[in-house]
Amino acid sequence: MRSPLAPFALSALIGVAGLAQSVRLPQVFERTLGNGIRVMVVERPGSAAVRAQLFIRGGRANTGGLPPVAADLLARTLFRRVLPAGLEPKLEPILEREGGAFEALRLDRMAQARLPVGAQTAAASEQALLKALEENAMAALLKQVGETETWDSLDAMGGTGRTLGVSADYLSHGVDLPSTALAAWFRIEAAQLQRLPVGRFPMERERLIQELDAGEPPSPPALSVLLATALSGRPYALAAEFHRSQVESITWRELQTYARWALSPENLSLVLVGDVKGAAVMPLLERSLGALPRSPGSAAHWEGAELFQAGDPVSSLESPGGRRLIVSTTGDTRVFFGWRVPPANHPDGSALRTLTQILGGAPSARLEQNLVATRGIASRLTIRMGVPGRRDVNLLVIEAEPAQGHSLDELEQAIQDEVLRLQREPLIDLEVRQAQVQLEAAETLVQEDAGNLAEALGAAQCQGGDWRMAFRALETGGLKAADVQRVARTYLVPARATIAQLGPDPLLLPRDRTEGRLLQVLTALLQRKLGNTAQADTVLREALRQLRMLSQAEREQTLKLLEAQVRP
Amino acid sequence: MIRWTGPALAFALAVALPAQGLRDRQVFQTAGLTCILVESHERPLIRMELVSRWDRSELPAGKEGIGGFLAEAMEAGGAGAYSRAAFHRALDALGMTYAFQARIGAFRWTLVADSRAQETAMELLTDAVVRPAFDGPLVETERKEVLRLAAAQSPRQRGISRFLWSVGDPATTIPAGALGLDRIEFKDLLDFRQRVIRPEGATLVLYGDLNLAQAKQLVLMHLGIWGPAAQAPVKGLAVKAAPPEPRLMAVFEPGPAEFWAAASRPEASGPAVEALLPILLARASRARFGTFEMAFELPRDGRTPLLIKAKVPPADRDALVPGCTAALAALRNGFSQEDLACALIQWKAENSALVLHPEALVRDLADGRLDPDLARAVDQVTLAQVDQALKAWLDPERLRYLLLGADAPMLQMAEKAGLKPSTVLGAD
Repeated sequence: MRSPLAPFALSALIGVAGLAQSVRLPQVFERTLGNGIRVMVVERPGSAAVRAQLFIRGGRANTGGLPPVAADLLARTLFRRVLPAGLEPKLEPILEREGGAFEALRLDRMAQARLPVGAQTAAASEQALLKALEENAMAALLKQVGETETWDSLDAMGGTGRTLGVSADYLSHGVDLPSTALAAWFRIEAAQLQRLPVGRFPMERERLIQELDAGEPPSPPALSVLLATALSGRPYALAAEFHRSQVESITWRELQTYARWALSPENLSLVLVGDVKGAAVMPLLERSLGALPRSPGSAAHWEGAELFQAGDPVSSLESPGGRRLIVSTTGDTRVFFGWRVPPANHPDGSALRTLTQILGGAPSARLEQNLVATRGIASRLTIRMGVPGRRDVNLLVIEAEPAQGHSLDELEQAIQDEVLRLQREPLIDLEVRQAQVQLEAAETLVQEDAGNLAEALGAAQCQGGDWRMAFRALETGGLKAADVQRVARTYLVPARATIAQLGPDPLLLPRDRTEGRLLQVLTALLQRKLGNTAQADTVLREALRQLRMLSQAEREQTLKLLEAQVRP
Repeated sequence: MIRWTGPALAFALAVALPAQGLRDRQVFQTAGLTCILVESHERPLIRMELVSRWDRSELPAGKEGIGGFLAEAMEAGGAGAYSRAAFHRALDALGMTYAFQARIGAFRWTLVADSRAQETAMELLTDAVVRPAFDGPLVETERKEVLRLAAAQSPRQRGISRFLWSVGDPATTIPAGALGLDRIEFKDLLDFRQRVIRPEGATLVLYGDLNLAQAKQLVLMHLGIWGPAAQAPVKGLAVKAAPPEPRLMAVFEPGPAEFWAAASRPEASGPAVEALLPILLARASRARFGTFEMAFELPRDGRTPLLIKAKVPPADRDALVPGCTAALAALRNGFSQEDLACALIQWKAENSALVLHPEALVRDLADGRLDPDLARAVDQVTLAQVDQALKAWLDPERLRYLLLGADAPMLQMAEKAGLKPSTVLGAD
């Protein structure tokens, strides 16, 4: 006879014994090359293949004077394809020509935009000439590098599963290689980092502009509103800003300068997972990547805070006070909660992760169960830590979309209630233990796939200065309900929160026919009483938002009452 | 020029499929179910993936959305003695990861657990597959939600959905507008489930920290009771269902213009050639055709149609259709011997690297893509065979097109390129 209680009984058993007893941290062979490159190797003998992933500490939050999108351009330009050695001298004059024409076109477009309507055509022939110049230069560039766009030396050596990552804290690129090709990859990689070829820059700039024009920025625009407000004055405040004008303003020379200091050996970490022996591979690495020269003064470019250290006067516990935003969008309807939390290596990190797991880390977690499954207030809900990065003060973010028939205010209130419940009502150790079991399971699962493991090790090294940061649940465990409740009371407080409601402006985009009619009736009513249009709009907007909290039947009833008042 | 020497050549000659995962697999049958075990004892994990395969022709005429609707109902409902909430609580209590994926032609359940909880994991997986608990009111709620979402689709979304359904995209499980969904009765759902979720058409892959004896015992104890389907597969039900596919569907809507082309699988194309074509087409994806980018999507699953998507900068939108059709014509000229050599290296490398990625390895095993005979056949593929298959895939008579963000000048250009739209959405 099966019992539905069996999993919980087993859970209780495991809860006592601890899953962590049977799971292990990965066996990582660690070394630092003479020039400062950090190397981490996880051996998986017999697989005949290796996952190789290079991490560059820095990222969107550390681009010097350039906008954050420079990090994306740099990663795409350098790592999407491998340019053959010796091509740079041929490419530089082309890049100069293309860059000149592109900049002249950009300035011309800006000047044209300032002219009165009708006057723009006067300069059309000059613009066409510049466009032709730019297209010629681009065609010449494609002719030189076109072949590597389709097959490059990495393809030829059996490189597959290429990935390119850009975050606020680091850039990364990874590839699966036959283990016999590893030495050749070291040589190619060292040559790339030595030369830093930016010849593909105009092509990647065009692709990125097309993505932005199509409304597909590297991170969602809604996030930029939240970050700019919640983290103003901190390194991550602008890390989600992506505008066409920013992309257009970056030149290939600026990108090259940025590449020189960003990719200095001190900022690099290499992770290898697969059929490779750590000790045996070190001499090869010293001769290739280890031969890259140190970059004097590269550390001076580091803009972010140093990693958290106990006793440091780090301002991570300070907060500018709670903020609430109402943002008009063209379609997105959602509510964001962002609480300022300390960097990943802060002592409260483990308790914060457990807290996040209890709230929304699994399908049976509190928010998912109470707001989505049971009450049906939210149609979708996610909770994330480390937004947009984890090296500096960052955000713990809840993002939720209201279900049909429920308002943003109702959803916001319901989330607030759940957070208050967690802070005020007794929390039992079993719930904390279950959340930890889930985190331990996730940290064990991340070790299964070589790509996921490499990503976890490299990210932790870049964000917390130690790969073990990726396995804190397995390492520590043993948290008590009181620990979790303490961090909930410390961090999930109004003073640290920024709440943003995103929704279509009801005046411009009424939600349905009833709302459209309500708008007409209320406008007619307010015009009689308020002469000032701006003031009337403010009152109208607020009234419609309030009415959205009513049920459909109640809204229709209200509409009838209001219509009766409008009729002469 | 890429030189095929050094490590590349050594690799091409030395790498011998199968990869470790394939070499070490053990296959057994239980009650008609094919089971594959790959042992890996490095971590205390067990990964289970069960795929139940069926055929598009089993969809009943007039109720073609039943596959997608069944999937929705199964996701919303419980399993065995558990309600949906209790089922997820049971999974979460032990830190298990669970996923269900529905495609036309295949339902797929994946569960990853601590190997000490393998009994419970298999029990929960069995409940989800064999004993889904449908809840009448919940099914009706799901039906209403699907219909509401279908009614709320923009012309662009409706156009994409209609196009993908018409070309047989397995991921599009409900026809555009959820046509026929209101005619599906509760009994239809139960009958359809019994017919398509059957051990004879299913494969279970077990990967991780368990041995053959444990695996056999687990499967026998839990899935041994999974009897054969109550009804034999019924094919040809949907013969009247497919309307004539429009050659070009255009969606009038402000916004960026996109041009899609799709081709269903040609009969002549064999699995060996199809193993290499996605790699060769990915090469074409990376090449720029004039000012526009074309992405070629041909998944390795052997069922999904070829999908080509092209975009242009707003200034060049009028050139989109003629440019794309010209680029496709140029592509039909075929590949070079060097392309084929590199594709072969890439294919071998991808298979060799699968052992680093157990999730992908298990998926390929469940879908029967790691066949040693296939490895030998791929080695024998000639350029002529590849080019012949490419011509069949890109045969202009078989391709179907979708123009998104269309306007009158673009339609004129399409007509000049020989593509007169037979369906226009959103023109009003």
